[in-house]
Amino acid sequence: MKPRVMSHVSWLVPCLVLTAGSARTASAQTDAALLFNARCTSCHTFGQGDKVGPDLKGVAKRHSRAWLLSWIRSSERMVRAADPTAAALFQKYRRQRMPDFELPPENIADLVDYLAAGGPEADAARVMRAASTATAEELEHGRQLFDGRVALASGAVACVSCHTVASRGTLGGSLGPDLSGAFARYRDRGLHQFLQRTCFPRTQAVDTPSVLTESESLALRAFLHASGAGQPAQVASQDEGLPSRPGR
Amino acid sequence: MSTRALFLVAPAAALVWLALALLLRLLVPRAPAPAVAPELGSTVRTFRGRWIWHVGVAGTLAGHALLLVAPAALQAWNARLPRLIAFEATAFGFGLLAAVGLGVLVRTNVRDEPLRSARSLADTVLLGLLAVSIASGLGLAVLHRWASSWSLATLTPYARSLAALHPDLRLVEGMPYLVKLHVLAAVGFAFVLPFSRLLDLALLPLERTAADAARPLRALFARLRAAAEERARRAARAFWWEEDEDHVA
Repeated sequence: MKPRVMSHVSWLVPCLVLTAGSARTASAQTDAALLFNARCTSCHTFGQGDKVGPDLKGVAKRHSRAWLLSWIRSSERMVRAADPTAAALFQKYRRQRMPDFELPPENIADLVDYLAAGGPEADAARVMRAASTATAEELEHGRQLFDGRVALASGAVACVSCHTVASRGTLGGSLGPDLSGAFARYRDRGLHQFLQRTCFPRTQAVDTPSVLTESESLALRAFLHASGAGQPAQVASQDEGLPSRPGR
Repeated sequence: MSTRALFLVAPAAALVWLALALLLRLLVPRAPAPAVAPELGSTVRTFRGRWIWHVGVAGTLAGHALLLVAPAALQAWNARLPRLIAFEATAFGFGLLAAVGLGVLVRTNVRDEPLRSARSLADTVLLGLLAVSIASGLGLAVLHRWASSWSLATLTPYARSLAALHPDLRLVEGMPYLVKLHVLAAVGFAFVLPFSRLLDLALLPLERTAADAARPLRALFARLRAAAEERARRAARAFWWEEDEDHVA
């Protein structure tokens, strides 16, 4: 049985969950962003004030990198070791518990790097164009990419192999879900992040390149945006994360 | 059972087992043809079936071979919806023919008493696995449309990773159950095949081809051997002639 103190360790820094054994990708930053969006934001904001835990904007300036790495690896251990900073945060945030996660060191390092580099704000600054700004040509390009009439630069199979867009009358595959409402649900950022990775396998090897170029991502998002016109806006909650793998 | 056991350990074991069985089967000398002929006749009747079975299996195997051997070409072909539909419909048609053909074959096996008594348990299991394989293939074609496209990103690389002895489980772990069943039926088939008389039937063309190919060599060796024997006989006759004469006298 765990000591009593173990159940009172605070939730102060990002709540991170990564599927055990998931491989690092070529784009560590994209992975860290996915991790942050999927899990951390339930307790933390980035530049919008404290929530359950502290606002993580500037966290890399407030604490040393070594301290952050240790803290994310095991906040419980640090509180039990009476680290003064850890103890202060534990008291400040109502003794909320932040469990330890079995994260690989490289994922923790990627996340700390991501936060230090400006996190979601930096993402937004260099963000892709919004799907709503796409031209008619880009929209048509998106349709052709979806249908497979134009091959993806990576050579990956077209979306239509597994997905359909019923609202556009696309006779697509039925292995994966109908993507008519995908844009309404995940919006630009979520879809862009999802499209950076192959559908099969979802966990990639280190040297796997991104599946889509920026222009392909825009074109596909534009197509899904247009296909979802009339769909009620239903943004996925943080807990739901990104679209699940087909067939699940 | 875990995904690892089903899609990594089992297929690898099945492939090794099948390879070993084939090797043994080809290396270990069998009884001469007349001795196995009656048994082979029964085997032929157990598995041969009618034309509908041959066409269905040949077409289905050809479709699967395309997926494995020419995925890029198939992807390019499927890039146009009418062509994709044509390919899927053709493959489905072959699958249906195979299903009907297997049904006829099973009925023959069930009704024919001599066949029933000659059939081994492995033969029965093998026919069952064929039925599961065909049924799951047809089922996934209906329920999970455009299998000839999506399998290029899933089952083809999985099969290739198996062949490279580096199986990538991530490609199958998220697949629907029907797809997994289809894969497992194939794995089971590989396991049971060496126990079944179907292996004899499958290897028959190979053995005949090998025998045909070796015939000129065998003839050459026979001529050389005959010539050597004749030379030896003449030499012996010259050496022993007088003694033989005396002996005869």
